[in-house]
Amino acid sequence: MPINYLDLRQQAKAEALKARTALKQVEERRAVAAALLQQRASDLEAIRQSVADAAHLDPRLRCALPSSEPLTHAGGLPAAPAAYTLIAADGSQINPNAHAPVHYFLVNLGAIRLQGGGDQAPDVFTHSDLHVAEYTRSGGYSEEMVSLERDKGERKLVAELAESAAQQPIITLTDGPLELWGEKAAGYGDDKAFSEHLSEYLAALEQLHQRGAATAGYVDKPRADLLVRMLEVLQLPEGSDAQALRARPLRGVTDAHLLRDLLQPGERSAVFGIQSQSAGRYFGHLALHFFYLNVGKPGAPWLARVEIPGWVAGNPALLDALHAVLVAQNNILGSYTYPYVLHRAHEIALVKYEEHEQVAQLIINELRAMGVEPGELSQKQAAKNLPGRRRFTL
Amino acid sequence: MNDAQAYKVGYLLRSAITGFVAGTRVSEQDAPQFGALVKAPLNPGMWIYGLIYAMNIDDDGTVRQIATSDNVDEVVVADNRKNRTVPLEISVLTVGHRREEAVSHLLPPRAPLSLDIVWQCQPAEVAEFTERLGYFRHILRNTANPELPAAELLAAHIHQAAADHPDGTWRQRASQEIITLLRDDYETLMQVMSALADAS
Repeated sequence: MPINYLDLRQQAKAEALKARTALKQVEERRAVAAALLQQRASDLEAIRQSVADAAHLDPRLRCALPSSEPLTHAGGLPAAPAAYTLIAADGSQINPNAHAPVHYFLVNLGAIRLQGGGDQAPDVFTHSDLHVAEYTRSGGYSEEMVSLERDKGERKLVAELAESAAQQPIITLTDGPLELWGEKAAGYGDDKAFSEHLSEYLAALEQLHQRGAATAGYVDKPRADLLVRMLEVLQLPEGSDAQALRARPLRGVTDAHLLRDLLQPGERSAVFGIQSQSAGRYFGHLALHFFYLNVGKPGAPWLARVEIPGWVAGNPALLDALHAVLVAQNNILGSYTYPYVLHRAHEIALVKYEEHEQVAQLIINELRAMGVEPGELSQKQAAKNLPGRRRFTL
Repeated sequence: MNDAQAYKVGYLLRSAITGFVAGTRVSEQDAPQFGALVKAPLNPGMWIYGLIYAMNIDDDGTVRQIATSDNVDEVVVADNRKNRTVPLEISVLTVGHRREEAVSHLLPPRAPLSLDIVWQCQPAEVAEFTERLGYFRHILRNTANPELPAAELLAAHIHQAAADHPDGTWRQRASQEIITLLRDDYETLMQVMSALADAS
């Protein structure tokens, strides 16, 4: 049956009406948040204390922590270094399919390393990692576990490529947050496997630190409200309890929405730390920080969140190099303000849909060559694969 | 063309009896020329000959976006030319074949296969294949095809091939053959003659 477009149209109308009302409310809340940001712009120590008190009430609190810059800081665009090495990596995967004849997954990593300030073509790298899950120690893999493998692999790849980088400073980029996600999503009874992934991930970060590289996670179109959540904490009356903390008076306002008018094109926000339950895993020079960067054009702001470790946050020269190179990268793809090297890393890593079938067939052929008969397609999938009814045409 | 060496034009992408298309990396685009005689293998001892009549470099969304930037960084240009898989497509019009030592200007019995290597012909081979001029009919058969600029192709080809004929009369014979073949098509004849005059 096709979608019931008649019903959908009515629902879409109702949703649009609700959105118009909600938008007005969000704008009012944004005005409150913006005023609070201005009022408390330099009150950094007191804010840190308030966040610490709130985190004591609710250890799961996830919000921004001010560093040394005022909350309303708008850092101008620094000069780009004359020469630098820029490395970006991205990953793509074929997820395991329980209905397929073979339960396998593939993580494909792509990377690009260019010498900024030169005219030589960059080097490109691919790394494909195939696992036939029936024959692994775990016996099976979820999509979340594959994502963990991919995210960890990206960081390890940039660390490896940074080792032989020719020019300093070295800047490495990956798409998405710097923090390794997936602990809960992976659904392990214990978090032993996640811990192993995390250890390798942190080792790669440490390797980048030793190399003196500025590493970053680039979040396009961020919807986070870490800064807004911090402002909510500041609004709590004295003696509030955990329940009061869970109220969200500024719900719906995002950080990007809040800072949009504060940052001119090319400017970055203050650098913030992150208060979160997982922050304990990233301590010292690995502590997670972030800033917002307006990579848009005059009259068309576009904010990205850039996540960086502590050693980059505390090194003005590295921070400036990262800031300047990111803005330059965002100017390459014309009207699309997204780092060119990340776009290229994605292109290199991408596993196309038609390649899924080819990889599966490759595994099946090899299994048969070894005398191992692969499994069978599930009855459900076989039925789904039947050709659909087609309209007769001349 | 006298100093041309055996040059790999590219790998065959698709083919038909009447023509084929080879793909090569964009960075190698300076080698093959419009109007050049090339060949692709068919069987051991058998080659298909053709003339390059078109070269295409397709764009994509990324290139279009980059092109709208104010200043395109040299590194980005180099990356797109060297690393991004945007092949130069070279279209070839089949004009004959060779079985062992026998050159024929008839169409070949079969089409060449994908990923066969397409080679540019060396001067002696060009002179041998073009000694007789029967293959002109394959070019002039396509005068109504806007994708195949017959007059320009003939002019470019004759200009190149004439250099491979040491006796110096070949160009005149070629012109006379064209006049004979196009005696009933004054408009096309004038186009070809005009292009030939420009190429001399």
